Amino acid sequence: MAGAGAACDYCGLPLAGVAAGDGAEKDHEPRYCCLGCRFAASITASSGADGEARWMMTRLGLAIFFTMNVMVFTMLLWSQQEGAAADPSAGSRVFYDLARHACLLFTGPVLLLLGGPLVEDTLADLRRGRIGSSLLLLAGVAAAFGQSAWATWQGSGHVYFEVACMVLLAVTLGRWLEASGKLRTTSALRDLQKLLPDRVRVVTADGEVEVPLVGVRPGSRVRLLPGEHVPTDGRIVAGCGAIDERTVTGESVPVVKGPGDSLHSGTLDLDGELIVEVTAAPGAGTLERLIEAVTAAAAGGSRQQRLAERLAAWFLPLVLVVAVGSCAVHWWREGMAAGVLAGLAVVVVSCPCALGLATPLALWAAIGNAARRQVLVRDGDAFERLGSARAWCFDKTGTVTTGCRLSDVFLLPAAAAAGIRDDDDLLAVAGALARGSTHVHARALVDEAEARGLTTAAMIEVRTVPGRGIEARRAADGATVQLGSLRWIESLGGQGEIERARAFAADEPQSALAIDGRVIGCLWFAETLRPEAIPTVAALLARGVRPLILSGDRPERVARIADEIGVEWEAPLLPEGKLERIKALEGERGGVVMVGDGINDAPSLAAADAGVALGCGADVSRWSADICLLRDDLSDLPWLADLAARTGRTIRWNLLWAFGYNAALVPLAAAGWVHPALAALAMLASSLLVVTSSLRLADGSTERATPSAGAMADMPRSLAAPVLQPAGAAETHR
Amino acid sequence: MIEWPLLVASGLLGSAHCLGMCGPFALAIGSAAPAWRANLARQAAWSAGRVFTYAVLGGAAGFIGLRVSRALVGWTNVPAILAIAAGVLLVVQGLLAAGVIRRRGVGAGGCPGGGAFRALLTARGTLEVFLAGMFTGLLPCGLLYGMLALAAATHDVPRGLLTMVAFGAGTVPALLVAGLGGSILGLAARRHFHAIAAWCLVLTGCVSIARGAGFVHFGDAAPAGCPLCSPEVMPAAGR
Repeated sequence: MAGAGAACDYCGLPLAGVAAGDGAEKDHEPRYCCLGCRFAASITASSGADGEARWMMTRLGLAIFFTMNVMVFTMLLWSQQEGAAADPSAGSRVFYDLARHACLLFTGPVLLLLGGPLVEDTLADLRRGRIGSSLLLLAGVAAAFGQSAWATWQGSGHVYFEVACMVLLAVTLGRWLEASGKLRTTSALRDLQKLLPDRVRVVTADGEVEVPLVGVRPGSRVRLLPGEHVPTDGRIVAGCGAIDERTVTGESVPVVKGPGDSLHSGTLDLDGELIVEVTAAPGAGTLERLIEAVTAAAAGGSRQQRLAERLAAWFLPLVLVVAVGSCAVHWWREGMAAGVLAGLAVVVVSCPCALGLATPLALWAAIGNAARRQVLVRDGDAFERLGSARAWCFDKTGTVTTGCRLSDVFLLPAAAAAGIRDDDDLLAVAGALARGSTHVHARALVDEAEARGLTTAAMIEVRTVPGRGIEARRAADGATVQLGSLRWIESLGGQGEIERARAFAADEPQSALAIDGRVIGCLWFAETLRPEAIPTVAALLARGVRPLILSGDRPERVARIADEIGVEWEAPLLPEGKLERIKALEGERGGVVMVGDGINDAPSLAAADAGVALGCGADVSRWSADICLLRDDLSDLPWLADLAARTGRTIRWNLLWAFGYNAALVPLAAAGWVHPALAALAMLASSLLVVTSSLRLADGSTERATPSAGAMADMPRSLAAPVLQPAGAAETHR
Repeated sequence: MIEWPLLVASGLLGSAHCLGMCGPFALAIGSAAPAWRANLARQAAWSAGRVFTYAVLGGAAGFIGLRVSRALVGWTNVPAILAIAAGVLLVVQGLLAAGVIRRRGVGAGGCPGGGAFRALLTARGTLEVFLAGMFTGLLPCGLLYGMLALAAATHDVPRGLLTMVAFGAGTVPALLVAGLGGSILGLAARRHFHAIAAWCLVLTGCVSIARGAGFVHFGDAAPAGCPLCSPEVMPAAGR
């Protein structure tokens, strides 16, 4: 059902049980998921979005003011009832009549202020051939008011003005709270949408015209000024500028782009004036696809949500039956007034919102909150499972580590003869050669030479020997210099020297440098750990989660990294081996989360209960993971696990509340023991409770769950103790 | 009745508490006013809204007190217990305001109506400001609950209502001053005022507790009577 359902015209949440092409859409009649949205939308329509909140509060506020007056006079009536029975004097009668007329006077405006949306909602239900709670509420309110007005006119009989007022007010207020809660949960996604401009400057042969964004077609040329967001995907035709792409790639460093480079919608042109040829129709750009993916995830919901929806679908008809039944029984036994009051109390007290709304609201709030932090959730189920997963598997290269650095240098005796006195001299030569290559080791050498501030030697006739290394001649003396893999340098005749280097360190050097055929030095490289990897692992361990590295790399390298961050590891594992381990872990420990990079680890990401990917890139359609960390930052993980766990707790708590509340109060109301005014207050309190507890998940101000250095120091290593069985030939370490 | 002057005094003395919670609202109301005179009208409307809500709540509390006392006819100690409960609430509020005890961290729950309330506070019309005052009166406030417990102890709708009107009237001057110009009192003066008022609140609470304790029945023994005032002027508590 993801994405396929129709959405409420006010809050944008999916309409339960209505497909996109269903019914009303043809005649463009707006559709709302609830009375609250209808009420809110009716006010927007009459006063515009700007004055909406103000006029809404004025309308509700006035209704509350009049209701409060009605309540005071009603309480006076109630408290005097017993006294009046004993004292049927003229003074008491006058007081009674005055109080009743005051109630009538104050009830009128409440009906006028709040009755409209309820009538409309009822009519909309009837047009669709359905009998909903709106009809019963309306009938109950009308009956209570009619009976009371008649009694006031007659000067005898009970009045129920407070019932009419309180029911109308509480229902409107409750539904409105829900509607504004829903609006808040979807605001994170709307904020993203707002990045796209409404109007764009289209360049034509005749000059420049400003048109609405929807009027742009692929092939049109658009002028973009500094500080503007890219309206839809396109390619730069002219101009050059720094582009801030963090909204779609998470990359915080601006990228300089020029003619021929492509642009993603939603990115920010920082400083250049650009002419862009549009390549994607508005609505099909990168950002829109991103938003669509997240919306689809939220709309698809989760297992618990589908359960709640199924229950809610049963719940409403059940309540209606109970209401009508209780009305009939009480009417028959105690008269019309008692029947209407009991039936009304049942309809009012039942809080279907807690059942049907609590779960989606919590999920929406959490997914929106994550999106604000550039963590994109594409699967609600996976998100829910993430909170309870106990095994977290990490890929090593590119996930726990990022790039490579020079870790050690060993100078051989031949160095002195070639004019190399120390490591810096060697790096000055090696760094100069490495400039010609994009190999990770070459980059690490260049970085190291730059970090040490070395002036690299000038090289001539630089050439790459594919798969082996680089060869060049030193400009100063014409000496042949070779930098490359150990095997290559060995094959050039340096076995003896390299043996000495092997004796120097425990593991094999990875590169060597030779000058004029003599090996000068050997080089070791180490993968650089992501700076946030250690605190992230510590935070996960503190959550009682057991992280584990699954890698295809050589065991000693994996061991070094795993020991540094203190996690279990298994290596070497082929992709199929990783899959097997993930399946085995599911059996052993329950939920498994796989964290990897979106391209190489796609199969394992798909196999895990929740696949989390780093560096997904801008194109949503290529993502294979359920959840994507756009910012490429591991420290989002503990936060995300926390959010998922909190979401799960909130949903369970809400559902428990919904069951308990309805199970307790609906029978009481059916028995005629709950006054409708109190029922209205109870329903309002229940709605407020459920909505606010869900909205807490949308709170973006949640602290980052990155542990302090102290937490790292007392990281419980014992938690990383052995449990795993060795899998096949792979070495397993704890 | 000497109760009502006492209530006004509680409102006045509790103003430090009010300034902490509702002062920012008073300032917000004032910020939208073009001139001093217009601001005065706005502040008055806002306070009227607050007092209206207090009055309704007081009436409701009186009604609940009435129902409870009728339901528990044999329980002669109900008013005394209510007075003691009110006193304890007031003492706690006073100690909180004085900084002697600390409030536990309150979760930042998202109130869905927050934005709309803000819109009312800064609206141009007097009606909106009155409504804003009405909603302000509904904000959770320990001092208010203490006073409502007192109103419940009256066992009477009109008297409960008047109790809260008296209390509400007491809160008006400080908030009026705050709204008209936060700078009339210097920071140091406000801090002193705050501290004095906080302890006055504790005192008011202690008076209420003492009064309640004075009327607790033990078996057949007659109540000891209020240590501060004679039983004749406290009909509600004495019956």
